[in-house]
Amino acid sequence: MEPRERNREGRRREQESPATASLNQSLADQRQAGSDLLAAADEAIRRALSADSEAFLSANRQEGGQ
Amino acid sequence: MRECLMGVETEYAISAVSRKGKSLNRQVLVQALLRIARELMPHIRDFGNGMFLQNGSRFYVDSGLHPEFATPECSNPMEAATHVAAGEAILGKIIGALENRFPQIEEVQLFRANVDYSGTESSWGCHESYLTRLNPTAISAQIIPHLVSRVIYTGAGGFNPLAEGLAFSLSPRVAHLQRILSDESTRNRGIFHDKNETLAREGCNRLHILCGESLCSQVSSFLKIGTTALVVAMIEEKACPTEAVQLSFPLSAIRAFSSDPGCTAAAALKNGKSATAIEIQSHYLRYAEANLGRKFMPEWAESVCTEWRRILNQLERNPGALDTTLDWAVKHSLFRDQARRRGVAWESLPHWNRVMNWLRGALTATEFHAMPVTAELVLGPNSPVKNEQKIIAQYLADAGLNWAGFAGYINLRRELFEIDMRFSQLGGKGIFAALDRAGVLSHRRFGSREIRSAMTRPPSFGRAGLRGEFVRRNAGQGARLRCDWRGIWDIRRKRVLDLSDPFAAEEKWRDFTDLETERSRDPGLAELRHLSRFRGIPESDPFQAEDPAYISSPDIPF
Repeated sequence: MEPRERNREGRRREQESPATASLNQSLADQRQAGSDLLAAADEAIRRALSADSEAFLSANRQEGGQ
Repeated sequence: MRECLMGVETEYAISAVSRKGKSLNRQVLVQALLRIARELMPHIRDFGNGMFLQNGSRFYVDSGLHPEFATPECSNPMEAATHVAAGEAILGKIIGALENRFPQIEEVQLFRANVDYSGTESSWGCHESYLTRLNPTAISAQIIPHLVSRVIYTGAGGFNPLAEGLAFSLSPRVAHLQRILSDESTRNRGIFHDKNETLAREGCNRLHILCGESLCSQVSSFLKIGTTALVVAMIEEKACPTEAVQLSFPLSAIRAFSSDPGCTAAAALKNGKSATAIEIQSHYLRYAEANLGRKFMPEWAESVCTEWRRILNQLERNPGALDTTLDWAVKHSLFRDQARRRGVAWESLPHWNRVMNWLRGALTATEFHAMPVTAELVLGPNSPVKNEQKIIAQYLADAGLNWAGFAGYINLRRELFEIDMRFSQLGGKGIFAALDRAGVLSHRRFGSREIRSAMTRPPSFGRAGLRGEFVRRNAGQGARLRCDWRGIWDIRRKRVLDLSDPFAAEEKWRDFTDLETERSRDPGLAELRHLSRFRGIPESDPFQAEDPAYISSPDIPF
């Protein structure tokens, strides 16, 4: 970041109300949590998925149940 | 403060693969499962194929050849949710022993499944029971708006299993609800189950709810049980008027709410207005908060209200914020991302679903009517729907799509169905379990210490404690003892530990009646279990579906 940009960013942060800052932080945290979730899910799904979903579903066919 | 009792019974999907890669016969598999469970777990046999364990719970194999766990009667939602998890940990232990005993088995897989995507139109139930002084049917009108709208935080997430396409649902079991009220549980299911099967003395009725789902998130599980128990408590005390949230069409409403991840869908009310699921839930929550501290409210009510308020506020502000907390929200996020990875835009699904419906309609009149819709069938050289292809191509073009994407959509459909089941797989291989281990979820209300404790210890309050303690002291006495929810029959001493009072705090024995004495002479005890009928207590349903053949396990011919 260039010094001029850094100053502008600093001024913008100073102008934010505590409520806005808190909301922005919350949104940033949420985005990070979502991103972490999808990264972990990609790995988990790759490990879990079978080569043949149709055969998997057939093998687990329910024959009764409530 | 009021004492409540509640419990959960869960049906689990099971399958196993041999080292040769073949699926094992499920009947043989569950026989082996029961045999290992009998060897491994201190227990007293019930009157069917199952057993009661030292934590007060019941484990058995139900119709449809699936294992089922019923928690003991618990006095608060945290205890009930913990005992559900404990049942799953016990199942995991049994499965581990089974795999060790039979090295021919590569893997036994268990799932907290709710709906079957293989086309059987079946489901796996997860039923809740709440003790109530009232006749359950009398409270149906007041509780139905709660059951309909709670799907926004109790939904397991998944897809409509009866739809041709890929229709995301907050609560896929909703597709199997065909009536508002019903006394059936395997078909024609209702939002409200109006079969009164009490498992206790007169005046202690059981509200049996079968529209709920098996969940992975502890927050969802806690709220499902906690909010519903509070609503029941308030209705009993006439402390929660529900005229303002009476739905004109409850079935349409639950379908609309479960189809809307944005949680903004509104349903028509009888008073001429409309309300979203969040607004209906907020109505119940306001009354729960207003009644906090009153004598009829249980001591745990405040903790439920706090979590209830937190989740409703987040759903109102931004449902996406709960995609690490609620089952349906986690899955919605995963499914969308998987579709993106496969090159299928989530927003294109309604168009492809419409195409699937057209194709199914067109195939109905052909010899391929019973076949699944595949890209090969539709687009192959011998396609039975060549005429429709051109018309649909125009529709697709208008939507910015073309036939080249059809195979990807069909493959994605199968893959997402598998991901849905794999999400809930018990043990280390489940997707939810993997996400939990990775630390990317925020769903916990209790830890492994509490679960381990609940595997062997019954709830301290009520008859479950007496049952569990008796099982611990007397397990392994074979045919001398038989247990059910209402008592423990000592065949040799001809006496019964009477557990018909669900709040029983001390052991009370009574002698066999003449009828019990006569029927206990039958070596198979097949008649003894029916005795409760003659004591004015309805027979419990689970017995009716069981096959006595499982009682004698043959050798396992893997």
